[in-house]
Amino acid sequence: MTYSIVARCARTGQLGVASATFSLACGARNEGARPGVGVSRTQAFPKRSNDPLVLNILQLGFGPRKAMELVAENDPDFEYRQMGIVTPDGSVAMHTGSMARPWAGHRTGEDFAAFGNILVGPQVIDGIVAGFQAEPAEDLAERLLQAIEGGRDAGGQVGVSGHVTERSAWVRIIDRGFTPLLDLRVDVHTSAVHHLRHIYSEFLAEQGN
Amino acid sequence: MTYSIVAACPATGRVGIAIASRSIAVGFTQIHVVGKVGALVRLGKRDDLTTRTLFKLLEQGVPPSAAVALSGIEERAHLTRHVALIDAAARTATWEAPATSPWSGFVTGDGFIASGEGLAGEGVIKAMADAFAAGGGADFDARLLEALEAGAAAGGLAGLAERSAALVVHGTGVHSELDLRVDLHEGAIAELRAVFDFYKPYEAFYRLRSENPRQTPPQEAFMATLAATAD
Repeated sequence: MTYSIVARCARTGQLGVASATFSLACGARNEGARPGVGVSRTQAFPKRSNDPLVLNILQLGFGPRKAMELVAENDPDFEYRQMGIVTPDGSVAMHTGSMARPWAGHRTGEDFAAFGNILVGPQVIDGIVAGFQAEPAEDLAERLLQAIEGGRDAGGQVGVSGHVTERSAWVRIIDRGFTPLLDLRVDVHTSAVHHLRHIYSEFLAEQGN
Repeated sequence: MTYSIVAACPATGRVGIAIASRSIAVGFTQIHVVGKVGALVRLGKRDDLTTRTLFKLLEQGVPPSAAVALSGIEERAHLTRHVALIDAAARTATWEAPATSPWSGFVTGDGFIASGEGLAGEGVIKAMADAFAAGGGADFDARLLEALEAGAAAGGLAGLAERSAALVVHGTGVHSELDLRVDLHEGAIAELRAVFDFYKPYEAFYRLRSENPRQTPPQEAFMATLAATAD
């Protein structure tokens, strides 16, 4: 019950990740973004050491596909994971395990991987991609928020009794610097994607003062 | 208009921070925590170089006081008003620019620094220090949160509501043990408490889901057990 995007801004070289999910505090699992190295995002049944392992492998000079292969060999429960990786050169790798709960799937393209599980269907992924590609000249944070909003507006998550709300959401942007350029979170809320947009707007206004 | 406690527990290898502020997203803009290295509160504008330098020096084993002296923070004093830094061995350092919003200051105790600026008075951080020191038996994360609440009860921001808060604890693993945030909410400390109390029963479930997915029930089934317990 999660959908995410990992992406690179071709204009600035910035990397980012945005997620929305029924689980609480999805932004607490923020060990998968490393300056100058890449972004790795694991979900479904997320093994928390997988993202740091991916980054360590990338840091050795391997590409994201090789990193994914090595993690697959190292993780006996790899079929329970859904993982997206993007690196500073815009390469991506993607894995949706066969045990991720349906509907689960992904799309990759130049500079991005969009993925989710326990969704109403592939239209959610299409919504994420459309949101990301809507305004390519915009800041990466704005594009990632539009991506997540696109996923939500396409139907988002579904459970046995219908639509399931997003209780947490997260966006983080990094570049080569030690600290993130942006990191905003909603940890517990009845409509987390909407609230994340509100926080982003208020944050920009406060920074502008 | 921010108050915080940074702390380290060398016996367990934990470092952590509890913080609340009038500004938005204080858990993003004003803190940095690295497991096995240290925890930093730096009030001011974004200054990636100073934060990076402090942590790179701590990683080399340089004590926090020397790290602050070597960091070049004085040359970029327009970017920083106030620093509380602790390393994993619980060594501490504090630094403050000449002009900060009153009341501002620090209380350094055994394994922690309580500090803030724009506060109702010194009583705020003294209350935080007393609460943290008195909480010896409780969990590290709960002690940090209780210290923050004690600061609020002692007057906090002198009548202004906190709008963001954060509670972060790292142990010796490759990721945080706990990382909870309230980025924008009038009355952020009460909201952080609500988030903490709501999240805590999920902690073991999320750990199981990470480490043993084959034995993990759907989250809806887990939540039904929570509801049954509550009845």
